[in-house]
Amino acid sequence: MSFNLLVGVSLLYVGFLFLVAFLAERRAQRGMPRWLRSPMVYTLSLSVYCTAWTFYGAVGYAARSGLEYLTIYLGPTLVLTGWWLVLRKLVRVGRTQRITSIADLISNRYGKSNALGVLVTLLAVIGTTPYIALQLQSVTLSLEVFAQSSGDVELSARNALWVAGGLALFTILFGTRNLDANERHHGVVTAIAVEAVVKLVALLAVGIFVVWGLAGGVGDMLARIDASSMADWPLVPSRWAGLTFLSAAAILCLPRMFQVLVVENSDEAHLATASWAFPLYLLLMSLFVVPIAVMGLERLPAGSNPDLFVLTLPLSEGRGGLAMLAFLGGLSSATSMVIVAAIALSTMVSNHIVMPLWLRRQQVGGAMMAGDVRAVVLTARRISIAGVLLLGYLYYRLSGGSEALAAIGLISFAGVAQALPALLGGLFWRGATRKGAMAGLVIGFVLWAWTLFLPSFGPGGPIGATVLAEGPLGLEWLRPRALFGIGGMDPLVHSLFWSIGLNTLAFLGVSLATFPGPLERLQSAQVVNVFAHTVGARGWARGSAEAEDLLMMAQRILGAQEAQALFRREAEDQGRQGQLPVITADFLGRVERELAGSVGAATAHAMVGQLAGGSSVLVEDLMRVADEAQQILEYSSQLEQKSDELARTAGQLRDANEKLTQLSIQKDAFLSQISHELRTPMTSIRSFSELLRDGGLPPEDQARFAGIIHDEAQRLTRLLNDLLDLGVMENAQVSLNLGPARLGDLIDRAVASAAPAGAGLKIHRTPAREARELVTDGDRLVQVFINLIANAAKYCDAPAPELRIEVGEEAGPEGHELTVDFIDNGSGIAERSREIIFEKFARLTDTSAAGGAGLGLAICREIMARLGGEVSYLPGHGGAAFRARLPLARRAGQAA
Amino acid sequence: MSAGEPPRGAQAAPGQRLIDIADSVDAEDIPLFLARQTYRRRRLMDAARLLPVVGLCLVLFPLLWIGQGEGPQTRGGVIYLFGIWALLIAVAGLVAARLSAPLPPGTGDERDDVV
Repeated sequence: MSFNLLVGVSLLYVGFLFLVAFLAERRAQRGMPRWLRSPMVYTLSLSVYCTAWTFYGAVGYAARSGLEYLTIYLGPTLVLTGWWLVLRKLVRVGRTQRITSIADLISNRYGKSNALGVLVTLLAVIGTTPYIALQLQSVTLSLEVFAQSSGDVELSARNALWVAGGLALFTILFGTRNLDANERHHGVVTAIAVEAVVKLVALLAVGIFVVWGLAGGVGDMLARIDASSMADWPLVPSRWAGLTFLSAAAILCLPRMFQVLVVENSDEAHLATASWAFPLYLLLMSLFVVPIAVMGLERLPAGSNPDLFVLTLPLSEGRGGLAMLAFLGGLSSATSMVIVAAIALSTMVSNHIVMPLWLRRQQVGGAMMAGDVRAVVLTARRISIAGVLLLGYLYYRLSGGSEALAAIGLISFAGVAQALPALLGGLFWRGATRKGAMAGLVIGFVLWAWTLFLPSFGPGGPIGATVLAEGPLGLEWLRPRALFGIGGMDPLVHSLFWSIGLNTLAFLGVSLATFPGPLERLQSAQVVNVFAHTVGARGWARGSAEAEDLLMMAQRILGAQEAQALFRREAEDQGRQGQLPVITADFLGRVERELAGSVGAATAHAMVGQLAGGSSVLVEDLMRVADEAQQILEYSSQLEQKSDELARTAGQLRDANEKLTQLSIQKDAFLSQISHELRTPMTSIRSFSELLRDGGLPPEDQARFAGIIHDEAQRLTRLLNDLLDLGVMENAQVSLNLGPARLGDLIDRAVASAAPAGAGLKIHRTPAREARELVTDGDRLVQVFINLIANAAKYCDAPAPELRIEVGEEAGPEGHELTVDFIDNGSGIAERSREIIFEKFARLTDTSAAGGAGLGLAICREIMARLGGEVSYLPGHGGAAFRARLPLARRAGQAA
Repeated sequence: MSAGEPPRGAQAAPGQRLIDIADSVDAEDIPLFLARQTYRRRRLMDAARLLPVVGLCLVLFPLLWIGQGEGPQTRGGVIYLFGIWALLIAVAGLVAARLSAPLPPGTGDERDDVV
């Protein structure tokens, strides 16, 4: 068949893939059709695991080592059937933490450490480059097969460059079209699903042709297997177990597998379908490998490359169409792997290496715009994609492209598997620390490079035959194929054992011994307990179901009317009257701002994020929420304090008001009293003076009436004097006549004046204690004493009134004070009245016996205040008790 | 005492050693008896967890008999391996279908740590 026809069909096929990717991308932008997110598309996209290595290499592998090739598929089968244990958690963590790659996951889990991100990225790039070279090699080799068969032999390695260039173009076109927050690429995933079908159909077609076309059915085929050189199964137990483990680790750790398994996953339920459908796909892919190998060995000339049996067998049988289908299958396997790997690696390189460097330079340079970053990220990704493919091409050219395909694949697997301890430890063990992960990765990486990767370049490579045989610098225990002097193992198993073993040991040991930082511990809880605080939502793609949830949330916070108005406005702007608006990023931003007005920016962001992205709250968000809560708390405690103050003030005002009201009542009572008091003497003065004016009275009557008029006038004068006294005293116009005085004499004067002997009040005194000298205004003090004694005389209601006058001394706030207590044996003063007896016009009873105007105690208080003391009521002494307190000028007392 | 201490009932008695302290299980939190339906769902989850272990044993089983007997063994190996493979796929499909079936309305069942 013509080589040009083959190239033409290939180009058509590639064009068809472009179309598929383009259409899918456009449909996705308009709103996700159901089939784009179906579990089958997801399962088929997982088939990037089956690369050209599988497509061509498995047959070669089987021809060389029997059934061992099956381990490469059995490992992933075990992982997929155990999805409930590991993958489910991995996918949940990936969704809630917005993970973009395996480097991102490990860096995120260990406290967002960029050093770890860089390390895993380097590991991935170094581990994947040979694999990309492998794909280029397989495409070139298969092209060469056709070229030879059609007699066209002017082909060269330039083909690989063309292939690499074309792949770079496709990847850049569809892998970096946009910067989706979820890093999902619908176009690419759809194209890969189509390729998955093509390679499965191609391999099945070749297989069916071999079993039912060349052989006579299943029974005949089994007989041929028994008859072939493959009849014996050269099982190496260590390799069987080791490779099963390795392939299981690889499906978790390979960057491209992580991309399709975790990053492109839009719904956890897809994992359930994939758990049986992907193993089924793998089974079908490997079902006909042994028959093809057996038939190839049987029919093709000895020495043909078994890696190409899938192509050469149909060609040699003259089935050009079938061979072309097989070629397309191989092309599909190679391209899908390269595209996804390039996307995954470019995401890692740009996120963990380019962006941090750029941001650091930018910080020195100055401010930056948000739009800038998008452009920089996209450019970085595009350059990374081209760079990764260039690396693959260079590796292909340098390695000469001669090695058996399977060997390169396994070396690559072992390299990326070094991330397994950090990955699984991070998922399930909260005690795993950043330093532990770092130590494990470094040790694993170094051991892998020393024992497997570097020796793979052959004797001409960095590790020469002498080092291989005797160790570096003659150190035998460091021989790459026999570490610590333990030789004889299969090189791959040897490398796997030491690198993964010591990697795990270092990871566990260092984790146990070190202490994680706060962010690390927070992330560890987020990741390990991911099921505790997230719900397995059906991926929140932006659909119309979500608008309802958003509206419900907005109603709860903004109120129904406002929220509905907001949504109606938006729907009208979008030209969708009467419907719910389409959720766009702009609209989400607007809703968030509206909500922020009510609940604070951070909370609003978290809430909208929860609905829109289905992603978890970031640490920064939480901190902002905490800040806001703190501010609200402070504000409310301030309010509380103020309201307490207000309550206290209000209480004081209420008390004052009560006092005022009471005083006002007292004043009214006093006014009527004083008018009565004034009128009574005035009435008698008037009537007696009228009697005198009319004359005709006997002289003794005249004298008596004049006496009465005089007495009443005196009473009036006394009343007016009292009032005047108080007025003067309150205005501080009084001047004191300070001088030495004896307390006993002062009391004598007061008693003589207020209660002369025989007045009915019996007075008890202790003269010895009264013998004290004072410096004071004697007359004023006597006035106070008179008042107190007269009060006792007037108001004491005991049948035999008595008054005790006691003199004492006590410590006051300003030195010693002299106290003079006047205690009678009456019924005392009621508690509620004690407050007001010292007020002006206060009088507790209106017994006419009182005769005073209710100013006495007010005057006393003013006088005592002037003298530097006070007068107060003494509760608890049986009767009414007043205490006069005077400062005791010690010097004056001693001087006397 | 340090902040990392368990909150309740964990005051170290004098002379108490680390080995005397049992692993603290939040026993109050975990219901002892489950409804029959919920119990079945728990066992389904157990099955999902056990599946890869059983699978691994089956995959490693040829290590015990390959190379022991007489005669060509590739044929037997092919039949055995593809046989268990198909079996695993069938069981996984069954488990996955039942695990991802929608719960009957009104039976919220979020936690999977309850036995």
